[in-house]
Amino acid sequence: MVPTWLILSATAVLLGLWLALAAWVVGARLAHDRRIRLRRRDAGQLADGADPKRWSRRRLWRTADGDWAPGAAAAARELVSRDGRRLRRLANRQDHRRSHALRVLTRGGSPFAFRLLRTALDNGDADVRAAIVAIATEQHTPSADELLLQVLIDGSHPRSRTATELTPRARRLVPYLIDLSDHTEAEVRYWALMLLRDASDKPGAKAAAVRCSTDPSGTVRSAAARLLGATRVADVQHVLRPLLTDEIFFVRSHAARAVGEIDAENLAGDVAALLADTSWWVRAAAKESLLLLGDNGLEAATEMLQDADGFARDGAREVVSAFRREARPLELVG
Amino acid sequence: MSAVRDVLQWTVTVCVGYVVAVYGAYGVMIAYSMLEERLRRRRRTIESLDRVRASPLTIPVSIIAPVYNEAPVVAASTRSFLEIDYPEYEVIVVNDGSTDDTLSVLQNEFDLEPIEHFYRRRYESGPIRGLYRSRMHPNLIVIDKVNGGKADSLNCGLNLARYRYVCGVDGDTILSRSCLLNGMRLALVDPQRIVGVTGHIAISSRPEDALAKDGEPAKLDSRPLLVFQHCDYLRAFFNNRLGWTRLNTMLCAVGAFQIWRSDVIEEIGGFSTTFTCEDIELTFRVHEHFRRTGRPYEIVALADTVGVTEGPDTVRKLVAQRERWQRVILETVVSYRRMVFRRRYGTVGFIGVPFFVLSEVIAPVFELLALAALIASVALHTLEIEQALLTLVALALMNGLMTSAAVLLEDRTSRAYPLRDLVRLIVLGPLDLVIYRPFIVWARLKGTWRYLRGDQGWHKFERNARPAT
Repeated sequence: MVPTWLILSATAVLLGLWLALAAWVVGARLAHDRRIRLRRRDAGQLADGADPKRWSRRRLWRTADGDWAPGAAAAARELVSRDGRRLRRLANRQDHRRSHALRVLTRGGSPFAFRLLRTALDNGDADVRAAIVAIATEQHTPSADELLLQVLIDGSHPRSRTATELTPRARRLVPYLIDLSDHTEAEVRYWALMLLRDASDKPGAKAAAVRCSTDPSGTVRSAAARLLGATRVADVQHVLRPLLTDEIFFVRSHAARAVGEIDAENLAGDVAALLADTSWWVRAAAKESLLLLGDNGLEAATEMLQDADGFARDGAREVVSAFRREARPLELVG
Repeated sequence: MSAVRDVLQWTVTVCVGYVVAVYGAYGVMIAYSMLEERLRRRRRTIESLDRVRASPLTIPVSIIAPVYNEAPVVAASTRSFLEIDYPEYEVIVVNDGSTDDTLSVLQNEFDLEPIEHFYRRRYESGPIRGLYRSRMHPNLIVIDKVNGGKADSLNCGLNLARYRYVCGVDGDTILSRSCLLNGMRLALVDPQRIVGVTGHIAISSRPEDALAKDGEPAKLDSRPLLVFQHCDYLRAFFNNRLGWTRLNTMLCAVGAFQIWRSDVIEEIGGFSTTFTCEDIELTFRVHEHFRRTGRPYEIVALADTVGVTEGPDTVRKLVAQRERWQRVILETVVSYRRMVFRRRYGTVGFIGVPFFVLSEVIAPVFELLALAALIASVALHTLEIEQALLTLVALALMNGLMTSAAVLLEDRTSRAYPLRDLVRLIVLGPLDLVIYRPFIVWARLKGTWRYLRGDQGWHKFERNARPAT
């Protein structure tokens, strides 16, 4: 028999806990809403030219560490001028405040900022490195470009993510990216070529793609094929032709698509032959490419309608039917 | 009489032991969930989705939506798929032999034209009657096939999927605009390791009306039954799945939103058509496959609400849905019982599956036993009526605590719901035990009974009524 006082006590404790948790939820929400409201107001005031000299540190920190806005930079500058030493100390600590201090220092234009970012890149954990990439991304300065390229090269942050952040600035980094397309590590060469796709019209980009089309790494050759496609010029078709028969399926697939992108009419027959490829990805890419090649693609596909290979026949029928904008029941093979 | 009292005494002891064990396990899982949420929140403050959105390097995704007799919602749900904010994706709607107007609604709404298309037949699926592409949205393909069930339709969609990641969704789910960006943001951190992503789904009687102008879920349904279900989903997701992610023992990527790397699905042979429901089974199979082969992998849960799905708006429909879920859980756990307490399965075998057994499989039996013991104790005067009521209040408050913890985690992540809705969820938390839980217990007992009888039917609940338009 459990005594009543024990059940009553347990119930009272649970009631207290429930009320406390409810107060936490409501309080945290109210505090959050207020913080956001004040942050927006302060950033707006600073953007309108308000003087932050008489603002409290708390108020400055709230604005400087918020969403990126002109007001945030003004608050950060004032904070750096007032509290630079403390911020630098925080930026060297191994806790979650490190990322925030680094962000305020960088936004505030501290001369120590990029040196501290590099140190943190060397000895920080994965979250700090992710923060460094995000912080550098806000800055459109040569130092930021250099830092992001460094992160891409050493792979201290997932390269796909770093490359994503580098994409908008790829056009001004062309010379560096061309150098990186010759890097010893295949993954770096791959990402350099992928980033060059957004600057494929710049001098040197095409030459880098041509050079990498014979790279020992299949991944790099596939990136070279994609870059060649992005050039949109047909004079690279002699480079693409050997890639259409590459031993690795994804190289063949990207080369086939690139042929369509550069409108290399002479290669329509080679692409149509890929409708009988052993890999589905290559067959699908060949089909897309033939559609891009227009009349030449249609002609090449029509010839394949009588091919001995079932895949080739079906692919050719699909291409021809897409050209003619008509649909018939199809016996699907695959 | 003393023998009866002894039996009762033992029953009460066992039930109290179960309650302590199950709430203790929940408590530990909430602690892990809070840890995971805190880390995610910190990362989120330093990451920007804008760059992922704008990048040509973001990995494309194929969305596969099986639909069966979804005429009232299929246009709205497909429109929500097409409005997703993501650089490159395709939508494959698989009409699984619907007997209503689903296909004609799709044809009218999206201007479909028949196409010829060759594809890989990597997975077995029912015969296809027709393939269509939208003239308005070139990334929308509709497959019309003979009825074969949800797993069969997903396999059929997989055959046509072109991209490296596939996202299986329910045909009655309205997805939020940011769902793929949020989901793929996690996958892109380490595409080699992260093989699956799932997210929280909110509940509404009419999901097509539950999104705000920015395309994010923001409205709590006004009906109490729907709000109780919403609480249930919040608890299941935020209290458990985030913790499971932390322990790498995510046991259920929900069918309404499950992103998978397509090569992983290919490796394990696609969705199974032999189980009543495909989502839990596939998640178990992925764990088994990777643990057996000793390869590093992760299945992660997003701390975001990725969409709104239609919840049953009557008790009868709710019981039909939940009894199916109970059968599905039993089928899967029994089928993969070999994973329990085996070293090669790591945290999945030692924590994940046992937690599932404790909180889901044997729960209805203990819940019934506890109720019977409470009534018998009062009848035999081994427990005063005041004591019984106090015990009920204590249990209700425990449930209230669980709900409040889930609301806290949800709100810290999304801040999507207005304050009054948060208060509503918190206040309804303790009432769940007496108003909502009895139906769930009944549904689970029914499901257990039907499982034992070998029932594998879907028993789809009929769509909620909508005003005529």
